[in-house]
Amino acid sequence: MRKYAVVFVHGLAKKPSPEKLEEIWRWGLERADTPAPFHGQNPGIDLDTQGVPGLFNYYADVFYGTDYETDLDAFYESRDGSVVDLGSLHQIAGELAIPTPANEKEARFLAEVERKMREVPFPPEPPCLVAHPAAQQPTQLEIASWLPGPVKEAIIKKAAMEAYYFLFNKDYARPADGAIFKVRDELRQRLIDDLRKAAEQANKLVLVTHSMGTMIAYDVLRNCKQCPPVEVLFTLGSPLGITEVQEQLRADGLQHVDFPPGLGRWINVYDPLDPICGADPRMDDFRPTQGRRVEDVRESNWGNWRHTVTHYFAGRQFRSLLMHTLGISR
Amino acid sequence: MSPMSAGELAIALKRGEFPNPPLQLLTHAVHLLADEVLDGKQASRKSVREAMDLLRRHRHFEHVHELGVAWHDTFGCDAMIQRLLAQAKVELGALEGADDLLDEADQMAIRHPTDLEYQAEEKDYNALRGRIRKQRFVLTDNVNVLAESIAYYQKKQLAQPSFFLDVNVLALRVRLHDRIAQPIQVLIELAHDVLKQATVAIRTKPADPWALATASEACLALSRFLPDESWCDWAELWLYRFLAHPKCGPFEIESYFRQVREIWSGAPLDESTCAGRLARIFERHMLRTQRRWSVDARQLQWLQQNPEELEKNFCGEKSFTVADIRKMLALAPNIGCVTNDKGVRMGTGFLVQGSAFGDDGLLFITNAHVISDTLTKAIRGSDARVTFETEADGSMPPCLVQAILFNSEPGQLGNVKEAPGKLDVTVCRLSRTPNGAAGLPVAPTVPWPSPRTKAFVVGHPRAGELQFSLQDSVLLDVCGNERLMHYRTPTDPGSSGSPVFNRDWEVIALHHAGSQTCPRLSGSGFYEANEGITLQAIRQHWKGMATDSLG
Repeated sequence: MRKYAVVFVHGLAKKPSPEKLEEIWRWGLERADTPAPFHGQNPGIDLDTQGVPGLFNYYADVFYGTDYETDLDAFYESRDGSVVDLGSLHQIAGELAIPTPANEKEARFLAEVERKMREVPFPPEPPCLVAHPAAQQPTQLEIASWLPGPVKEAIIKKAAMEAYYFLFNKDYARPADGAIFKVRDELRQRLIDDLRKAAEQANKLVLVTHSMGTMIAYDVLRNCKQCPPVEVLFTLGSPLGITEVQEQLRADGLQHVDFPPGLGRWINVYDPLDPICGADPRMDDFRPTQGRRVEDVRESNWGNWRHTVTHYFAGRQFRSLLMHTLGISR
Repeated sequence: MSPMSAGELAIALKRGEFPNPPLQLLTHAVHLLADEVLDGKQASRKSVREAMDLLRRHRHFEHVHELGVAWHDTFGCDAMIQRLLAQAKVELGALEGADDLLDEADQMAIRHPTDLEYQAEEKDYNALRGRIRKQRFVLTDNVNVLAESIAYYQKKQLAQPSFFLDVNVLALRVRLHDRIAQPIQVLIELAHDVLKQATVAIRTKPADPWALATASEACLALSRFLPDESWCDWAELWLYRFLAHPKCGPFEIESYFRQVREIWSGAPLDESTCAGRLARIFERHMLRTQRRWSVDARQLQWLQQNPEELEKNFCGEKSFTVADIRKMLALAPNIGCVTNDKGVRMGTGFLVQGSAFGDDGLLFITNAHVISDTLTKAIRGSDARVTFETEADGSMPPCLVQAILFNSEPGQLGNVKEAPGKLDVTVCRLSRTPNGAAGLPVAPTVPWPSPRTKAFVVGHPRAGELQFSLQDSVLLDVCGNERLMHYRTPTDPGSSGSPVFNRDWEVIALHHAGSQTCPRLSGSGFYEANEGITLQAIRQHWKGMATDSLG
């Protein structure tokens, strides 16, 4: 039995295959050749070498099916920065069924979440953006630094839609094959299953979550009694600060969101220019539980698309906090 | 099918059969055979000769040595066994002991002039004496020893020309020419003669890879004296054909590579000479095909003094980085070769900071089956000698074992339920440690096994120079209590006691043994794996300390 295990939860949009996604996330965490502002003397974290089991929770197939890309060279070719253009957006970010809100409340949720994310200040596009090669595959969104404005708008729309399907536990008919999932139930169960597997391998669990994955993690920690105890929760680029999201995650009988009672520590890392979290990036709405409160960490990354998970993984503060959490000394 | 027992394998060896057994099983079978010989009854001369020759052909010289010593101690001198034992001693680095055996054989031949067994071995005895002196010349650079070596290689029977002997004469005479000028035309004619013999053998005995190496070496000699006639291109061509030959394995490659390095002064980092070009081809071939990188004392010193050569020669490699090579070089002063008091190489060991075990100074760690005062097959502490690669030029006497601090006998391979005390480890303090040795860094944790997790082994396999194994180095499994780990890193005999490193080049385990039918650590069944004992387990059982403070 190891001391710690880490469970990772991914974020929005279509993803590469589970194996490829894990490879990219591990690369993001292990790489020492990080660009500015994290360049120089920034050792990566190799969980395997440090004796820490890592499990990768995966749910993108619920929305986007399993027609994973097979030509993975694009990822390696695009490390220097390719651009997601509007023409190939569906191919890269996946095609999501357009939701039909059942009532005024649901419609308002979609509109408000989208509006708040859209209003976050967006770093300007560099003048040479058109000169970058066009991205072709979902892997490239995991490392994207540059998105033209219209693409950003489309991805924000997708974020609001995915959040809607999850938080309102909608029946979702997958466009690829018509398979139907009750989204919140399905995603909760998958994460609980992975947490249980991790609990068989280590005494203490650490959750590292990104984007929409932060909502699933909070929901399971706060609202699912069968969730195993978790020592530390990391949320990166999280939309949990948005009031409309919080309203759907409150525990029964409470008027406000709070720090999950079964959780030891919660560290929230944000870039204020990340549109998915930037509307309300701090978690100060979450009421403390027995003195435990969310620790907000501001850490700006790079490019004009600040939501990329591998950018967050390069952060010095994030790496330092994760290493400290796992008892890794350097 | 149930696995073969050690007793069944011992019988097979005596019959001249070699069923490619797991190394640990082979070790047990040879122990049984040696015990039979020492009993003085059961093993016949013919069966011992058969078994020793078989083990020689498969390059298990440590086993040839064990059987030969058992025979010699029990029955005295036998013409063929004496030759095989002397060869094993040469291969294991015990040059004096080998020479003594050949002297004894000569005395026997004089005392028994009618015994034709000794006459039949005479050519091989001379070749071995030539080889011994060649190795001494490499160590001492004494030109008198070089001349002695040439004289022995030239003592051939005229009726039986041998390109193997002639190419050695050629190489050594060219080397002598570097110190004392020789008639060049004679050397050119000799090179042409060797090339002719080799090319005939290539046509008539295509299954023999040595003729290709000989042709390459003859062309190498010609390129030295006729630099404008593209003989170096021919030397390269024959070398490529040698490397591509189906029977050219790691031993064959290392043999010719050593000759190029040691006699022709070929350095992979200096391609201005033909020998350097060949050495570079060897190095790249070994890196690509075996993912191994060997370094001798001279090259080690050169690289440490000229770090920019690393960038020039290793950038562009995909399997490892220049930073990896730099780290490997920094580790080398801490890794030693263990020999007995006769100079026979028995395994590897390494230095770590005593603080990693709650102790002072530097500690030397190896297997109990290499050094132990209680195991009969191991070297006793008082007889053990440790040589470090940085001192392999003979500038310093070997280090001695001052005290054995901790000793735990070997356990069965893959036995996770075994009593926790069976760790196959000896921790000792040496009489001195080499300059520049600060102890290897010890990893604070045992890695988590996965297809991505690496386990690198560095040691002195097959009694050769320090070798870094970079191929297919996957950590397969770690047992539940983190005592044993299995990895697929290729290792050879002589790697016993080697440090096993994680990706950050921190020591995670002590290499112990390997097998093609190793019991799995998780679940049932067998697989091909090497086994190491985690340093964490050694520390816990020696000092009873918690893992948190390791490192």
